Amino acid sequence: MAILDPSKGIVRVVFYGRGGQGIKTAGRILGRSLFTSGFNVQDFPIYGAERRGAPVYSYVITSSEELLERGPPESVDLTVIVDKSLLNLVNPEGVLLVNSVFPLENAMSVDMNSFIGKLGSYALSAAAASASAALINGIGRNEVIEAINKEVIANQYLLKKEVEIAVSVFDYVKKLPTPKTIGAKPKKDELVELSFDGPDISTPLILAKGTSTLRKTGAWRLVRPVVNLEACKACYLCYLACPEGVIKLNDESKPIISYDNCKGCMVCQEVCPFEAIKAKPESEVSLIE
Amino acid sequence: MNDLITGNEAAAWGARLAKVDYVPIYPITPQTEIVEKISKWAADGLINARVTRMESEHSMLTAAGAAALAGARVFTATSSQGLLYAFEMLYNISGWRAPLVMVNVSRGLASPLTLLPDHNDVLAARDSGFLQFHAETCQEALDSVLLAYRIAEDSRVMLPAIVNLDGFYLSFTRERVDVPEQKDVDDFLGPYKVKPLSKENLPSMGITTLDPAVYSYFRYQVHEAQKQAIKAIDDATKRFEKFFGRKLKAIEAYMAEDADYLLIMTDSFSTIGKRAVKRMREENVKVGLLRLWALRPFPIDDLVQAVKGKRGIAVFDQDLSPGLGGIIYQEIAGALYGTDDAPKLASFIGGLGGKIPTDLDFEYMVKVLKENIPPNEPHLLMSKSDMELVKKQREIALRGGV
Ligand code: SF4
Ligand code: SF4
Repeated sequence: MAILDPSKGIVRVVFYGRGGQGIKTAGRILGRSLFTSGFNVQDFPIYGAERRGAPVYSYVITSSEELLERGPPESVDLTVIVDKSLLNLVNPEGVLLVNSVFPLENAMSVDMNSFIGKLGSYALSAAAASASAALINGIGRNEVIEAINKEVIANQYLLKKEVEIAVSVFDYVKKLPTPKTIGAKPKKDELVELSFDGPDISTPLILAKGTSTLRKTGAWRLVRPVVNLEACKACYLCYLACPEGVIKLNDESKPIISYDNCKGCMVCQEVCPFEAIKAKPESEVSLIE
Repeated sequence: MNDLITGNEAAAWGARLAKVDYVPIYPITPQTEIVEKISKWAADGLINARVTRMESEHSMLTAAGAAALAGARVFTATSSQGLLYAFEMLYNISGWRAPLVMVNVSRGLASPLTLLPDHNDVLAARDSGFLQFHAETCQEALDSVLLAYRIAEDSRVMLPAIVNLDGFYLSFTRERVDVPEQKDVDDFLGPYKVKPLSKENLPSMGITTLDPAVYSYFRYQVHEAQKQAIKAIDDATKRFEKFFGRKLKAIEAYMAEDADYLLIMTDSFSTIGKRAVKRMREENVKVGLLRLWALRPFPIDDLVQAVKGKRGIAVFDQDLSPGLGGIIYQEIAGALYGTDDAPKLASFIGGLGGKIPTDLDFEYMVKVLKENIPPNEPHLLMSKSDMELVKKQREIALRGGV
């Protein structure tokens, strides 16, 4: 079931995920598949923080006509969300494809993790790329396989596995019903004149205190430290060791972690002598939420 | 060979195909991928170049200049703050008449900090004596490196060259690039001919204080050589087209011939400018675009020709000289002043810190031209939603916001 057709106009795809999930590679596999299928292509990643776990996205823009494109496009035709915990951070547009166990409203949900099994996030890029390729007219299975072999750096065994996964995902998505297209929100905008502002406000200085807490670095987390307060003996060690300073102590001197800014480094778990802190995958926790 | 590669990799291929002998390097985002690629090729024995990591861009460029004088074909690359750190050597190397090629991957200058491109970095080097070529596409990143060697090493010129490509929008973007055959590049470029250093040829440079007249003479000769480079560009680009079938010119004219109005742009955002031109053409607005590939030497005669009979010209500067305005606007105004029927000029500042120009921006630019009221001040292309973002961030910075 292909619904996007680069021979009829420009098709713009975005992949959302986290550093370490192969988002750049997903874009590159799709880009390469389109390239070998004879389309004009641009693909590029956008990194915010250059760190594992931080949100990353990559774009693929394609058409059989000349591409007059630069940088992130104003709107997209296919949004692929590889990490479901990002769902509330992004503004989905066009056809929405989500890596999820549960069915979702106005979206195709494809449980990529079930196809991948033990291979883990290693094969996410291949799965995400082939799911999107199945939605684009003019890309065959063979082009996807060729692209994986060219773009993925792995040993022969892993490559073979990734190709198998990609093929099953491709065939599965082909059979799914057509999802609704979410229209781009029209942006009403106009140009404005810039006025003179005095140096007190026109200097890029941060004067307010504690502004770094407003940057929700908690979104970078792949795993979440969860404290078992029963097992905790209030030894302060995690409180002292947290490199982000996001652990407060309650009245009993036991830790309260601010998940807005905890980056999931799990140093706290490492230092706890009583195994009172456990790691929970963020994708599981946000499912429960 | 056709492949899907990034602008950085394309630039690295330019150096590889030019069979460079020596590559002094120093990393900086968004350039690093270029020297990584070259280091890897050297380590794998795919190229026969000596790659040396220096302790700073200043040393990197010094080594590059010295090696070029010693007879090596030299390549190096930097970006933004790195270019500025190397700055004093730019003037030295052009004075040495050492024809090396350096890629600058544009990135806006701090402060405030950004990694995305604008051209204040490379334009800061415009008076140094380096030739300057600006790539619009990944393909052009490769082609410009090859052309830069051909022009820089031209016996009439013998000047160093900068090839500029935009960070992110080219450096990390993959596009189809035709990588030429080595044999063809060998024939196109020919060997770098400089008298190698020997017992008989041991020159020393006049770096001590010189008589002002002597200084004037040598410095002005750099300008004379730049003027010769106009001819060298013409010869090299014609030769390039014969070898590789791709046409590059000091100024590219896009839908410009029958246009009443022209946009003037450089670098990768020209692609967005072309899209806007195409769209406006569909609405019967007679607009075209000139893209400056060569900024040094500045192709004055070509420019005068290209704007003849036009009603208005909008210059899009992705740079800013605070206290004056757009840098390229000033250059164009200077070139056209006093020519017969010079069209009206209007100045626009956009794309600072990599801000992507929108349809709204281009429509506004043409509107200003059509209404024949070019402002005597540059116009910053800023929208209401842009300002809302500024206000929000300023609020956080001042008061902790939200
Ligand atoms: S995971 Fe790291 S950042 Fe989060 S609370 Fe533990 S030590 Fe601090
Ligand atoms: S290190 Fe463990 S026991 Fe000590 S305060 Fe933290 S959670 Fe409690």
